Amino acid sequence: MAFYHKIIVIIILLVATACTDLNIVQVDISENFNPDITVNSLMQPDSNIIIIVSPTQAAFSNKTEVKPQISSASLVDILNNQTYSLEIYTWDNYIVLKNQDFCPIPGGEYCIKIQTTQPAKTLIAKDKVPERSANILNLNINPVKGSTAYLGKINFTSIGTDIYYELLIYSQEVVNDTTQTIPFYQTSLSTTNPLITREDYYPSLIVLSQESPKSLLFHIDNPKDTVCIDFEYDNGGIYTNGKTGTCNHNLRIELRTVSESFFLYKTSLYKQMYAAAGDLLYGIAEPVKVVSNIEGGVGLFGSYIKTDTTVFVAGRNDIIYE
Amino acid sequence: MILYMNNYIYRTVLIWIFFSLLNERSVQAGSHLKLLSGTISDSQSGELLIGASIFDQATNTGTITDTHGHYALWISQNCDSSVLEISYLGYSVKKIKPDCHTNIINIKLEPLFYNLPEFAINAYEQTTSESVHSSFSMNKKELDNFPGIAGEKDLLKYLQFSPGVQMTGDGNANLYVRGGSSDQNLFLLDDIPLFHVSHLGNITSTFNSDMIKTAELYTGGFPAEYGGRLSSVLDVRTKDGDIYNHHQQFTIGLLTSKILAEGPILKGKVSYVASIRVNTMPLLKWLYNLKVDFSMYDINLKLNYIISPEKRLYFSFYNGNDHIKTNIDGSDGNFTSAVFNSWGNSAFSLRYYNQISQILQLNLTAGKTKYHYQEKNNIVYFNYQENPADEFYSNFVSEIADNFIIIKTNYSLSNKMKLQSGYDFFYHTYQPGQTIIKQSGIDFSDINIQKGYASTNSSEHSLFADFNISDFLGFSLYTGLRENILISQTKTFHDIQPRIIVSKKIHSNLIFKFLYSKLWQPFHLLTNNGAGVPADYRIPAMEIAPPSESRQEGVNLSYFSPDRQYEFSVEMYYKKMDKLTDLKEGVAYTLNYDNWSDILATAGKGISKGLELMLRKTGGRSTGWVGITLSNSTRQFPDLNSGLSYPYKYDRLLAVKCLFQQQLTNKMNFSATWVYGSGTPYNIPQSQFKDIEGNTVLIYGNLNEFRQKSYHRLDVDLSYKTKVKKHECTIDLSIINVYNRRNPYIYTIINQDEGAELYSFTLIPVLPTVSFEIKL
Repeated sequence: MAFYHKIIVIIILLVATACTDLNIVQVDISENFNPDITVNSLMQPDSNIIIIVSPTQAAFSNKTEVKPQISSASLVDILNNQTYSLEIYTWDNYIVLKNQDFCPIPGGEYCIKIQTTQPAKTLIAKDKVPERSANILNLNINPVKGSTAYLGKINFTSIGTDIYYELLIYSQEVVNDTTQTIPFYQTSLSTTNPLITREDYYPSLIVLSQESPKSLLFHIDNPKDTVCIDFEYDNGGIYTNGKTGTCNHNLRIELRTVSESFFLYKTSLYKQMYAAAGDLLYGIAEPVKVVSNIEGGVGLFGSYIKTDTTVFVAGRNDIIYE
Repeated sequence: MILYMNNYIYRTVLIWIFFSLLNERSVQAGSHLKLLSGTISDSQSGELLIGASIFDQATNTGTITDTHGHYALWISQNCDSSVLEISYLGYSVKKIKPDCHTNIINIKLEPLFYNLPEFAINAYEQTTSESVHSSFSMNKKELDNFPGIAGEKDLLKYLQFSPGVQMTGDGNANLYVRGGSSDQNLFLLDDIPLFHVSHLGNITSTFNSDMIKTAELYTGGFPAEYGGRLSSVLDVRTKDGDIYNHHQQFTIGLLTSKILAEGPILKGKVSYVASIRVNTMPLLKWLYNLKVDFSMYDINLKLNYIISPEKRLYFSFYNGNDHIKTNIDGSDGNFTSAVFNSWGNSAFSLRYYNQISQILQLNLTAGKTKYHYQEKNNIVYFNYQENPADEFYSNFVSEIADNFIIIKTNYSLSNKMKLQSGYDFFYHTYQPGQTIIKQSGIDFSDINIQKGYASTNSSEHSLFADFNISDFLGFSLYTGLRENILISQTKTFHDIQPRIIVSKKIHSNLIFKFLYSKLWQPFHLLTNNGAGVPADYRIPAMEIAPPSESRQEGVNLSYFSPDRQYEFSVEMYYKKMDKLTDLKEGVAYTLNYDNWSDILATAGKGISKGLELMLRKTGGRSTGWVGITLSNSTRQFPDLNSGLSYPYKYDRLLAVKCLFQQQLTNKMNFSATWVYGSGTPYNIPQSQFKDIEGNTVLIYGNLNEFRQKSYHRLDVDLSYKTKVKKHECTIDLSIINVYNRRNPYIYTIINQDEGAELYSFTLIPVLPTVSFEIKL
């Protein structure tokens, strides 16, 4: 037996020495770098439109690039055939385009056109604002056994054919001190719902050591469906008096109906993030290009309509890990 | 199609009639030679020995045993002067004087218990240049002493050290041969093709080293009996099982543990060999603090029935799977959730071998092989009566299966002329991907959706013939022809693949070769890069993505030292691949079920060229090799990288591979490997920006523009073999990455508030490991 004990001790020692390593790689590709122009805007009904224009910067570099010079910028309401000029404001390294008199409406179709000098470019983007928000029917939250995580379930009615959705959650710790204001923090969430897990952006179980996505995006093409989405989140544990528990918290669930361009942009962005992070088992993935609807530049001209609800979730104590 | 089939039947019948007219009498007519034939086997286990040499000192001729341990050798009619020398690595050399009245001599060789060095020179190899293919033979002794992570002696890791195989870096047991991708290798396990040959995220291969008898890797100049892949053939033969005595063997390693049992079912008549290999413990889970359970297993079984001295029946079975699962339950018992991923091969074959005459053998093989990939989710909510109230279920399956029949005949027309011909039939079944989604409950609508690519079938007929004539006017000529017909549901594809090797003995120890091969592949592998997980899907050749083709030319110069202990070879090759298929950039494989042309990048081309130098020492107490490869490999697709050519993922300009093994004592063996490789290409973004939600968006330029830093690593292994109470025990100590080189395994981009940062992640630092094996 003594021989086997020695073998076991050796095995444990060897496992303990098997550690891995992460090293920063210095890369400088800023020399002769030609920046592109980014255009970013997310339209919401009843909110003034804000469009941010900025130059791209060399990857892995903090060097700021020269702002592009904008000669003209306008927005066209395609359905009403009306053109709005956009005012140009400069902020830090960004250019902000606004029109205080214009708010997009549900179902509206809009096009922006920006003309720049240095570099001389014409940037055009189009998007259609979703027609309405989904109707949340009910929501419940259940604690997960042997873990600080919770499993939520949200039911809602699908609002039409070919609709894209995004589900986000925000958590706010509830404390006894009413004078203290604690903000809501966005929380990562995972799901087992096949409508989402079959999307290519959603990380497979095989992807190791990766965080869950910050939101769940999915597509429903049947207008009659009443849909139920499960989601798991972990609000973190608190350790007091030798016991592990979770805190009381408010959970805000935001269900967005998003435009197709927003959906394609965001899902490709998640794919890019997971591919760029790589995987312990499968190494380096091929790079993923983020889908952009900006002609002549990069970025997103997208839109969404949201609905939200907030529930109180009671904390737990004495969790026994499994 | 009918015309093709008629042509096939016509040609097959012609070839069969021609060769059935031949027999040993007609071959020998008018000659002064006597034909000797028989088998060479292990004296203790009865295991037939493949590649054992038999050499007649009187006529200075010899041959080697085939895959059934059979030989046919013509010696002088006046055999009084003949002395046959029989040798095989790991066995005592035997000399016998043939009985002039006997035509059949079955020879048994005595195995050497300890790894005694082979001082005996393989006499047959001294005189021949028969081994004409660009191939690399596994040396079991080298494999057994090869340094491996957690004591794992992995065949594919060992073969990665051979020339022509690209170095893939840490944690990758796949083969990438001469610029080819991993799906372009034909992996044969006792004639059964396997599709996916790695476990545990490529850390180990599906070939259990305890089961392996021989393995041959062809990288160029392919025999015509092999087809269906573009880049290489790995022909693995497993043990037949001890026909006389029962044995068990246990191995405990950090990564996997295994049991092998072999023995007679009917002594001298029927034998079995079976092995089970499982992952020893959740090593990855502990090391990387994973939330998921990971398990793998392999089961190998082989039955060997000796019907008569001339006839045998074999049954081979393989099943190997990987599983990942995670379960969560509600703390009040109000729900259960399970997510499950699995993939693996299952295969079996029945093989009938008939020694029809001394010079003619027939092999009939029928079997099935299947690879599956599955992702399954299931979540159930319970109501207060603990009855299921709401349920969600999804199941994604992707499969490929082949039913096959292979008929092969081997003719030994003389010591210098051999002919092999045959016919393959493969019935391919593809399920490229199908999802079932179900939702049922109280508060919402029931959903039952089945979406996916349609299942397709195709049949593939192949007719092949290999003719080999050696040492004729100083030349050896190998000609092979393989004809393929692929009948799919929408189109019939036809292809003829010539294989030619001409070798010339410039000097008794110096051989020059020219090699040409054409190959094709009736399916395409698509690797889905969604969320960083390269899940593999195989799709059939179709009108918009016809079978891929490759043409390879090469020249080789080999020098053997007079005692045959040293071999030096230089080989130059040029390989061109056409009709390659891949996924277009940014498409979602599992969601686009409507039109293949939306997601496939077709008409791809690949070019690979290189120079391989190899110095190998096979005899004496010190063995090993040094291999140096200079190569370049590119890909070009009209729909990828703006149509521009780009370096292939595993392209390395320079690779140096060294293996050194030293027999320290009769019981102790030291082994060391060192590799060096210039950097492989990878992608890093050119620019970045922050979007309106604060996410960092990366913008990439052309594919594979950057090069990783060079890779090098030294591994050492010390194995000690002894006997404890009649049981053979082996303790194996390895140190991987001795000088702790921080080789990059992956480059990972971490988004910080101030922008993205690039990090390299090292998978294997200095890593000492141990394994223990006992044979009962």
